[in-house]
Parts: sequence; C-alpha cells; structure tokens
Amino acid sequence: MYVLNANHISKSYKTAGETMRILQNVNLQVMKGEMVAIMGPSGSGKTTLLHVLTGVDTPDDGEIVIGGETFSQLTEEEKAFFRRKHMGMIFQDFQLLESLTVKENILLPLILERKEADIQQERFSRIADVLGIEKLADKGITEISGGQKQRVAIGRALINEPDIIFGDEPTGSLDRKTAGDVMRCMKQMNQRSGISFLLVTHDAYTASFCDRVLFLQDGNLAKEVKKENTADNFREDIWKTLCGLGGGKDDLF
Amino acid sequence: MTFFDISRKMLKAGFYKYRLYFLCNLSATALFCCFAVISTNRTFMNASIVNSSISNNIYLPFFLSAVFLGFFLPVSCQAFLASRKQEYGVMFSLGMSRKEAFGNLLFENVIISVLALAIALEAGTVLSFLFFSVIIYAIDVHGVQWQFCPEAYKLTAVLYTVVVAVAFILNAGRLMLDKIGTLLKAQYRAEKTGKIGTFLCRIAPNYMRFHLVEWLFVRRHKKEWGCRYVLASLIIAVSVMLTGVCVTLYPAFLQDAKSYSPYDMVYSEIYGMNQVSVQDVLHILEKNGVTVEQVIQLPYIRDDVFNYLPVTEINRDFGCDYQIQEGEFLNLFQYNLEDGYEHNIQPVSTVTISGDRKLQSVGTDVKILFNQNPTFADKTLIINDSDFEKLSADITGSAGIANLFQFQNWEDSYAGVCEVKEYLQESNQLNEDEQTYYELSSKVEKYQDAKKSGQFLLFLMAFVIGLMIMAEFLLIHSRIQAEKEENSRVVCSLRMLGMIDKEMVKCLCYKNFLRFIPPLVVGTILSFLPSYYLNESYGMGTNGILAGIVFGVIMTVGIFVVIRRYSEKEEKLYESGFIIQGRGFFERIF
Repeated sequence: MYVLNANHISKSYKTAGETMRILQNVNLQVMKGEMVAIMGPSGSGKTTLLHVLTGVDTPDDGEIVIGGETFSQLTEEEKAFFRRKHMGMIFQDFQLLESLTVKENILLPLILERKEADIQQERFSRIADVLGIEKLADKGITEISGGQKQRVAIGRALINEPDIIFGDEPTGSLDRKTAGDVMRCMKQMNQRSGISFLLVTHDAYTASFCDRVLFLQDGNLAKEVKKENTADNFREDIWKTLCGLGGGKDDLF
Repeated sequence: MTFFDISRKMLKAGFYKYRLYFLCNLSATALFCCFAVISTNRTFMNASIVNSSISNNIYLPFFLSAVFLGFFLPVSCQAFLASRKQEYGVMFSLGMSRKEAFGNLLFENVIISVLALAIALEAGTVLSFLFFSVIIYAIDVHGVQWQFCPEAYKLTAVLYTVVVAVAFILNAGRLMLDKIGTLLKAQYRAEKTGKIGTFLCRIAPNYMRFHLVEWLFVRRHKKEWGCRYVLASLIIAVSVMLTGVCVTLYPAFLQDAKSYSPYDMVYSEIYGMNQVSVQDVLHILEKNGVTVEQVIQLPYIRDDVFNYLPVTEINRDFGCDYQIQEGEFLNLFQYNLEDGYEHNIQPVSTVTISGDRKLQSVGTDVKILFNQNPTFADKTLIINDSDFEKLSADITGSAGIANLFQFQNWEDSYAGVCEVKEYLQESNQLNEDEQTYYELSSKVEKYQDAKKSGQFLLFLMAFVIGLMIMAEFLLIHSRIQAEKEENSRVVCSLRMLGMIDKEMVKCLCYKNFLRFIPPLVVGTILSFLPSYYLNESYGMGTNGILAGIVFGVIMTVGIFVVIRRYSEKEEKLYESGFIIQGRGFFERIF
C-alpha cells in the first residue's frame, strides 16, 4: 500500500528569461512503513522534489497522492490542515522556535490541532522516551546541542503520528557520530510505529539506514538501489551508483 | 498547553519587537496629533492674535508629520512582520493555515494599534499643551490658549487608521503569499551593497576598516535604508530651513519694529479725539523721566482711502525735496521693501478732490517718513500747499494733526508712553475698544511686541525642529533595532575571529555613522537653495546657508557623541547574549 504516490512530476523555474527544467516527469512511490532516501549530485533537483512533494512549492505538472488523498489538488487551506494531520517535516537547520522550550517545540503540531492536555502529555512522554530527551523537556533551544536539536525536530515531526515524514538533509548539520545516533533514532521510530520516511540527503552513510535509495540526475529518477545485503554492501552500492552518475566525493561524505 | 499559552510565550520572548513596533506607531502618531492640535487651534491661527507669518510656519511641519506618519508606519509594520517571517514559516510547515496566521497577525496588530493610538492622542495632547503653556506663561503671548479640538483627534484617528490598515493589509498579505521555503530562509537573507554606504567607504581614510563594516553590516537592507534615507534627509532639510528662518526672522522683526517707527511716539488729533495740550503730554513724559528732544506737529487730511499731506511741511520736517505743483500729487508708500512681506504698490494716476478738481500724479516714492498709526489711511498722497488749503476748507471734519515725538532714550520710555496713553483715553472718554482706533503708537511698544514675537517664533521653531530631529532619530534607530538579530550573528562571528571589545565598538561606531550621517549631509545640502530664497526676501539669503552649515556642524558633533554612546550600548547588548541566546529584553529587565 502506497503512502506516497507521485506521478509525472515536472517543475521548471524561469531565471533571467531562461527556463530551467529542474524536474522532468518524475514518478515516485513510498510504501507504508518504508524508509526511502533520495540522493543525487548537487543541482540534480533533490530539494526541489521534496518541496514539491510537501506542498512548499507547486509542481508544473503531475499528481501527488498522500495517504489516499490527492494532495496536489488541495487548496492552500486544505493543504495546511492535511499537513497538520498526515505529514511531518525535518529540516537541515532544525527550524525550531528559540522562544519556546524543547517540550513546547515538540508539542506545537498538537497545540495547533487543539488537542487536550492529557493527550499532549501522553504523546510527549512516549516520544521523549524513545528519543532520549526526557531530561531536556524544559530546556531552551539555545541550551542544547545540534544532535539534540535534530532529535527535538524529529520528535516534533512524529508527535502528530503522521503517515509520512519528509526530511531535508536531516543530518546535514551534524557530525558522523551524531548523524548515526539521529538516524538510528529515526529507524527505531520507523520500525516501531510504521511511519514512512522520505529523506533527501547527499550522505551515503545516512542513506544506508534506509530501505531503498533513489538517485536523481538532471531532474530524472535515474537509478534505484535496494538494501538486500549487509549495511556495508549497501553503502558500497550507493557509493558506486552515485559515482556512476557523476557525483563526487563531496556528495558522498 | 494551548495556542494562547504559546502565543503569550512567543510575545514575551519577542517583546522587544512588539515594543519597538508599538513605540514607532506611538511616536509617529503623537507627533502628528501634536501638530494637528496646534494647527487647528483657533486662537493660535487667528491672525489678530498671532502674526500669521509666525503661525503659518506650523503648516510645513504639520504636512511633514503627516508624510512621516504615512511613510513610517508602513515601513515599521513591514519590519515588524519581516522579523516574524521565519516563525510563521515554521508554523506553516507544521500545518498552520494562512487564515489562522492572518487572524493571529490581525489580532496582534489591532491590539497594538488601538493601544498606540489611544496613548498617542494623549501624548500629542500633552505635547501641544506643553507648547501652549510655554508660549502663554514663559513667552507671555496674550490671547492664545490651549483648546480641545475634536477635529484634530478625528483627523489623527482617521489618518492613522487608514495608514495602519493599508500597511497591514499590504504587508500581511505579502507574508501570506510568500512560499514556506522563502519564509524559512528569511533569517539568512542578505542584499547587495548600498550606493551611499559604498561611496562613504571609498572616501573614508581608514579604507579597510570601513570596507569591512560596509561589507558586514551596511550592504544589507538596501531597499529599507534607501527609503529611510530619503525621508530622514527631507526632515533634516526642513529643520535646517526652519533654523535659517529663525536666524533671519528674529533680527528682522526687531529691525522692522525700528524701521517702521522712526519717531518714538505718535498720536493724531482727528475727528475731535485726542484733543489734548502738547504741554500736558510733555509734562507727563517729563514726570516719567522721558526727555523729549523733538516734537513735530504735522497737519494732514484723510478720507476713506488717502492721507493728504502738504509738501512744504514734509520737506521741512522730514528733510525731503519733493517738487509738487498745484494740481499734482506724489504717491508715497511708507514701506520697507526688505521686511519679508509682499507689498501691493499700485500708485494712482489721478484723484478728484473738492468735488470736481482733478489732481495728476507726478510719480511714486517708497520711504518711511513717520510711524504707522491706526488713524492714518492706507495710502498717502503728498500735495501742493494750495491744494491742501482748499481741501481743508472743503472737508474740515477730516483734517487732523499728527503729533510726532522724538525722545532722548526711547528704550526707557515705556512707563511715560503708557501714562500718555491713559491720559488720551481719559480725555476721549471712550471705552477700550473704541479707543483702539485713536491709540498712540510708540517705538518702545512695537519693539517689545517684536521681541516677544521673535521669542515666540524661536520657541515655535525650536519645538518643531526638536520634534523633527526626534522623528529622524527614531526613523534610523528603529531600523537599527530591527537589524539587531541579524547583526548579533555578525558580532558573534567577529568575536569568534578574535575581535576585542574596543575594536567591536569602533566597528559598530562606523556602522552607525554610515546610518546617521548621509541623511544629515544630503538634507543640509538640499536645504541650501530653498533656504537661500526664503531668507532672501529679508535681504539675508546667505544667512540661511550659513545657518544650514552651522546646524550641520552642530548636528554632526552631536551625532558623533550620540553614536559613541549608542554603539557602546549596542555592543554591550550583543555581549550580554541578547538575541543570540534568544532572551528578550523583557526577561532580562523583569
């Protein structure tokens, strides 16, 4: 069963009188409980694809179905309410509100939904326990580390129990060890709750935590690598595929 | 936890943003309200109470305060909403609808705007009250009083509401239309270099340091600063022009008082009034310590339009050399053409006297021979003695004698003049209103009135210039405040690179220097031409330019002192972790 089904997605931008085609007829499916990564050389259209899929940007053409609802046909107002209930988002630069505490940041989606206090408390305790941030609950955002911030961002994306979580370079601001911790966290949540993940990353290590990696090249989905053997083999396959597409060492590590 | 709790917390943390927006609204509106109350005050705008050349000066600052309100509120609204873009970007990404966001912003804005308007009306009233108190009690201007002017408040409320509503709809509408991605990246936005900043950097002696500051701080926000520079320059230009007016008008008032009163005391015996013995008047003056040097008794005839004067008496008493034959007359205009007023010099070519006798004009002269007095007609004709005698025989009822007195020391003659005034009123047995027409005029009174008017003008201008400078400072200060969050990141990076406190203060000094000085320089230069023409009507065109230069120098020195203190405070604010740590001013103080 597909959680995300995107068909024939195209997107172009006009710059200085010139039309640049960023995405060309992209088809993409994510199954329920699946963890998928999108990789590709710089400028291949990874972030644009994610923006289009999450409604941050509108596609020129194509259809996006999330959880059985044709997301691309919703009005802005409907998209907002849909996003609130069915989608979670994680950003490279965390995008947490510094004026709020860790707990308040995580609870924001529930507060926007006007959920009762006992539901808020119950969900927060559950998620904080899994993410290991119970003791940080009352701390300010400026008082915690980068890895902890990303855990808070993951907690915020998970709190409304969405169908799918989109991550834009979720480990981009973190060192290798912290990135590993954060990805293990995400994998754990994915396996426990069955929430699907679609992550855009340039890091083969991060992508190796996923079940499947899709490779974008010049706005097209060029290749797909599935995790069939060990993590090391999977990483090797990712690395080879990306090198074959013209991605350099900088795109991998 | 509810949305209200979250909003309250965010308000508390970002209190300085709300406070700044509130203060911007409050001060711009209070400024306009103050000028609205003054310019709608009936006593102040009554030409018979306050000389219209003084009271009309309020229209320019009134107009400029309206422009300031109309410009400043939208830009402060824009800055306020821009500072919250990232916040709303996050909220949108979490599923907040645009309608909910618009509702939130509308609610906040209505609360801030209503509160600001209510306090601004009171603050404007207090300012105008202070203004009137000073002119009534300190300068002793009679007849002017503070009045409750509902139309001023209505005007302020209407203008404010329209401006705020338009500004909010435009700016909030733009924010609602922005894509989530754009809003999330708002905090990292930077713009290209500003031309004025670059120019100053190029000519600055310490090139590298200036260039660093320009590169780090000034090149951002080109659009926002461009508009502010224009308005701040206009405010400075008006302030400099008004300074020029003060420099010229005050001495011009005193000069006019003397030039229009060549004799120290004048009264007319006409229409059967002021028929007192000159000896009695001399006695009163002597009793009051006034030594009289000269008394001239000038016969004249007046009708509804003209004063007729005999040429022989004029030539003898005033040292003139007019040659006027029988059947001729000379148009005499007793004006000082450089008194700053427009004079309607329209000579007549013929007049008919004694029923059918026509006199022809032989020319025109512009010269002040004796003082102005209510008993004299507006236009004066000098005629031949024989025509004067014939005219006297025909209309004896309108013949009069102008008594002109010259004192040894006119400055000490006030008490004597007042007693003569009372004496004349007693002899006429008229009430005060009726006596006004026959009242004597004196140099000492004219001079004291001019002095009072001059002081009043100086106060008016100081008041206006003070408020204008405050508005200019506010205009620039508010933008610097709005940039604090961004600048704190730059300061933080510079500290990590090893910049010490002293260097940081210098760096911020240069930055603030580039914010305050360009409008001052441009405004002062802009004012030169209009200031020259404005003051040239008093024959003192260069004074206007000199006043502008002096004003510019004083302001520059003042700004240097202010900038130093300002930058030290700014540096301390960043040092204490304000904004970087996400702690608001409110939390630190309370």
